[in-house]
Amino acid sequence: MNIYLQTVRTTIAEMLVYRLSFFLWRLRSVLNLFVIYFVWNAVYQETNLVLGYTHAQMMTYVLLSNILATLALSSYTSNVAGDIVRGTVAQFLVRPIGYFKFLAARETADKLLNVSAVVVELLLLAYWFRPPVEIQTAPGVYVLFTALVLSGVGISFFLSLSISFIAFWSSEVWAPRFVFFVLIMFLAGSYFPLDILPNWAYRGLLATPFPYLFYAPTKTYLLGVNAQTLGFLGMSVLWNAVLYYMARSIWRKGMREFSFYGS
Amino acid sequence: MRIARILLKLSQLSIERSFQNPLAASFFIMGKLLRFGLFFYFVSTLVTHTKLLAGYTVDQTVLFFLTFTIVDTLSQLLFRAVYSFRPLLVSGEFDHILTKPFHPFVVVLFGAIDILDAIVLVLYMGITGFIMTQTTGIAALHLGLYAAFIVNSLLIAMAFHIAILAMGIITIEVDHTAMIYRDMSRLGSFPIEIYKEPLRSIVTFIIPIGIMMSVPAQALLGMVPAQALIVYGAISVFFVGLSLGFWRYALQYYQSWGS
Amino acid sequence: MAVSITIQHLTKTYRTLRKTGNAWRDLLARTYEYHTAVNDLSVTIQEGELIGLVGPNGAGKTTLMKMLSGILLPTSGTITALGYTPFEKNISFLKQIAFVMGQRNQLIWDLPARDSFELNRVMYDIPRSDYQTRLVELTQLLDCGDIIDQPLKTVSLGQRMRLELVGSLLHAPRMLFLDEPTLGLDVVAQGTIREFLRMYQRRQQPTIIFTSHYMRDVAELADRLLLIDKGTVRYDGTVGKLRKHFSHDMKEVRLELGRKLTEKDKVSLHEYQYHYTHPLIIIRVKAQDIPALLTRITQKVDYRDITVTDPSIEDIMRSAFQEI
Repeated sequence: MNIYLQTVRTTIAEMLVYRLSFFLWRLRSVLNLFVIYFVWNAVYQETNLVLGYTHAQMMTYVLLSNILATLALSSYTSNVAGDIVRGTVAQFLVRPIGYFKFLAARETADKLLNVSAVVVELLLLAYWFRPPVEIQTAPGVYVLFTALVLSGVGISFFLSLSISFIAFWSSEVWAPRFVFFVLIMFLAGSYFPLDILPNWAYRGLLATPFPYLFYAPTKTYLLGVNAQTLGFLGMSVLWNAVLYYMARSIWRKGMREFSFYGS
Repeated sequence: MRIARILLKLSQLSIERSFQNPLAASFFIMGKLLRFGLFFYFVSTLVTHTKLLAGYTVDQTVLFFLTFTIVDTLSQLLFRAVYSFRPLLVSGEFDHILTKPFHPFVVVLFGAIDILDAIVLVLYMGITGFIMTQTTGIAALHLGLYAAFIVNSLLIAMAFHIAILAMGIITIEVDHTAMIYRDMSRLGSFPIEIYKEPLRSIVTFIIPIGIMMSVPAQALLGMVPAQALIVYGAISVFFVGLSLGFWRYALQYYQSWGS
Repeated sequence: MAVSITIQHLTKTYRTLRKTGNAWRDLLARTYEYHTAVNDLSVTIQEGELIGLVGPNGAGKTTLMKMLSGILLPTSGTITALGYTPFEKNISFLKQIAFVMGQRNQLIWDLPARDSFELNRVMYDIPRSDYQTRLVELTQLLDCGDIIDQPLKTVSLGQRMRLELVGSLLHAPRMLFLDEPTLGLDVVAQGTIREFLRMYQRRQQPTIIFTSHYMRDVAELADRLLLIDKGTVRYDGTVGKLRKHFSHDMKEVRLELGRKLTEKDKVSLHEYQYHYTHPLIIIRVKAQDIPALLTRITQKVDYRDITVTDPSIEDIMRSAFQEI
């Protein structure tokens, strides 16, 4: 256990060395937040009900979803592809810790740092612009919400790893990753709540893992604990398991076939 | 001219290299089209349900979005080389570029004109043209102004990219600065009226994204007088001059770490 | 002979941010570290010279070359090369120079070298007929005509270096800078490059400045040697004079012995510096003392073979670096 804790600490220290990089990354998140806030604000100037959501509800949805997106996207998993292509992944395999667990520790560090930053940013935004939001009071909601968030983080972790593992077979991982990124941003529901889509699209999406990243937890926050949101949790956990096994088997296959040359 | 020939050659070689990996290229185009399509759907749904966005109708709002896409795509098409600048700095290859008998911009700014972007650009222009026919109030004069303002926008985009390169020389940090530029320009995918002060002023005058992205569409809708072109043109020339000064400073500072 | 490069009181100081590890201090109260790489250096180089820059790592050789080629801005001092100030990067100046770095390629990685050569043709505005002639000539001299149509990444390091040289010389530069051109190459490849450079220099008479850690390069190529340490010139002259200067007229007597040396033999040799690993013994002795030594040896020692040579250039360099 100590090794992983140490990894977390080291990763945070590493990230703080790249201060400029971190600062610029946060700046980008803030800019993104601005766009979302202002666009929806403008939309709600004329009416108070759009596609079944009030101003407060939509704002809550969008801001919360944005935090979750930050949480999911701040990730080291994209470096994994680079490690594989360069052959440096070999060094991790000779160390006495599980590679997956090691990656998870680094993830935790990354997300911890970014979530702290995002909370600060949102507080500043709230102070400055005072967007209308809906705050839930029932504790049960928060429990379910947290569970869904953690589960969503797991899904994004394993999905991203699987994409990175493409590096075992091709060095052009950036292209599928780009497509992945685009899909995530839309289909996971970070720009808008997914249920405003036509019914067939909505139902179809619910069968994929994407909605459980951002849409499910955020919608749960708005709706509270009920049959639908509990159903979300069930599907989310299921997808976690499926994707874990997928990532693991891709990894195993890659290990067997890989040749470890660097360039 | 010689420079034109060099650019042509570089372009040709860049295309050859793209074709070496057709799978990645198709993924990439697919990703771009997907992003465009999804965002387009989002914007049109949004505005359809709200009838008006900051005083603009659906068609008009969509034109803003499309104009943004065209300027953004053109700018990526021309300045893609900036995204490969960091490896050149880190490996020391930039030194080689400095010893070649032409301005380094030929390689680090314009050296990667991308055919893949040209393909999607044609598509975007087609869609924009179609929407234009659906929208009322567009005269031929407006089209001319539209084109002129787009060229103006590209000048501003060029100034930004030169500044990104200069920052890269000083800090070796290129990718994040480039991404920030992209994120900021995304502020322009909607009419800037939606932004409240002081953000709106910042976006218009201090970091002229507003001019870059919004003004062409406004001109198309007849909301900008032709004389404004002179003012806005002067602003962009000013920013280009500023960025060139920054670049010259950066070169003097250059320490050439690539061992 | 015309003067090619004039360097006067050249200084280059690097400024780096000192990272204390304290986030606030690094952001608000920045302190810098200064490192002087080139220190008040003045040298004149004639056209057509073949100059070797040597010196310990970090001596300032590469910094000097980068200032001469216009990559870095001098902190103070002046450089005039071919009548231009290099940092201004006049197109006419750049058209007349070439910079080659060992183990680094300017040629495009995933395409055949020929494509890169074509690019150079356009870049340097080389007339087609000249281009063709030079391409054939250079590929013949460097024996790489058969590999110019393969993607660059598929050829070996030695071959890549040869192609690199072809690419850099297509525009017949008047000044050629080479930074460790033989780095990482096997002995045969190194020899090939050296021979080529010698031949090329004889034919085209460009000014060539190169750095190398391989003493053979320096010994066999350089007409003139500039020994640089801590940013200044410590020695400026021919390789021959360097020998005399730093070897203090020492010679090496090498003997291949028949039987092992006895303790008594060793006692009789005690006044000499020697290195003995049977059957080879190398004795360092002043040139004037050789007759005495030879007399003693021929009388007392059973030897199979004897040679008298100059100390290797490596040894000379080593003592040179130590003395300065």
